[in-house]
Amino acid sequence: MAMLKGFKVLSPLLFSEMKIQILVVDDHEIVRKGICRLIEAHEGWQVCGEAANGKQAIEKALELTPDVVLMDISMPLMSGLEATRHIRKRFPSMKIAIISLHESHHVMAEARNAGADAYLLKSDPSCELERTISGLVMTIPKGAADRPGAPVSAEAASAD
Amino acid sequence: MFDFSNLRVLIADDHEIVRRGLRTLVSSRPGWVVCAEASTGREAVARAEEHRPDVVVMDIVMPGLNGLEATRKIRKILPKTHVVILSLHYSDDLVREVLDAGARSYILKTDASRDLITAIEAMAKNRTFFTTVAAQALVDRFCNPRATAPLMRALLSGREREIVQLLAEGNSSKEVAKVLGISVKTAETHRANIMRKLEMHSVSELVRYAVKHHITEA
Repeated sequence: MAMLKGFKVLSPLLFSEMKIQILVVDDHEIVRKGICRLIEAHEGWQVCGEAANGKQAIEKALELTPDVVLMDISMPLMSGLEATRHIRKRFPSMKIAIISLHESHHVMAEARNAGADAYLLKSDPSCELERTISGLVMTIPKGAADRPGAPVSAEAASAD
Repeated sequence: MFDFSNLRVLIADDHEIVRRGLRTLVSSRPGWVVCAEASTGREAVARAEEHRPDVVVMDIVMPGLNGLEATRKIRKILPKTHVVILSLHYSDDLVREVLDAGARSYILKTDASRDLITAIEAMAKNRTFFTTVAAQALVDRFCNPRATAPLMRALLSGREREIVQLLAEGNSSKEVAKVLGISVKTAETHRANIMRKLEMHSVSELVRYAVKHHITEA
């Protein structure tokens, strides 16, 4: 591997093996377990980390730079909406899906204003969560620029 | 007492993602099997009757028929089946209702990952298991007995409690009748009796009562 302007240039083979990195945020460990299980069953997705409150979510997002964050709203220390605002400011391209107990237009509007890309209910079937993640994943540009040290294609590297 | 090495568990929770997490937890124990799942209280009762599990892990708040009522029914038809109640919230009154319904274990969902296995193992030895805050409250109550509100069971019959939930969830008398397989007239008579017993005059009052007593969620 060559180091080029602080970015690693990876071969196309490695590129295709890279899984979508997902951060799971919920104060209920049993819910995180269920979401992680769902993600692990999906080839191409990987849980890169977990967080139990909004503060931890921001720390993990900074540390791990996931492609997707699945964020509960009601959590101790810092809510999911607050954490979403912070993360959105720092990572404009990171995909954030709110997973909430509340079926409320008001809460949905707040989530949208905070910068969330999607809003799901915890009562939604698993297939809905899968569909949402798939939808968000499709909008991730190849070699997501938000991630320091993120892989870039050889073409993009040589253009520099 | 039941055989640890071959435990059959039924999981009842209206959130599929929670059921998935609970299934992962239960299945991680050698010999423990999730024999069935349910997403409503009514389904939980039907599945329990069909599969005769050793243990039911029961969410309290579920649509149609809540976990406490489902527990009462299951304990009646399957006295050897143990029930672990899962709840998002804690309250002293809820602990009393849980015990009265026949469950011997009460865990908060926030503690489920940590406490569920311990709770099931405790029941295998004919012991109870309560989430820490509930256990402390029970001790406090024993040490400082005080007047408490009557149990909901004392006020309403089982059928009436079922109807309270269905009405609070927005069902009309006609819809209640259909769900319970009774006539509309009977459903309306029950409704009138409920309102009279609880001294209520509107459905919104009934909804508040149902939420307060964990019959349904807000």
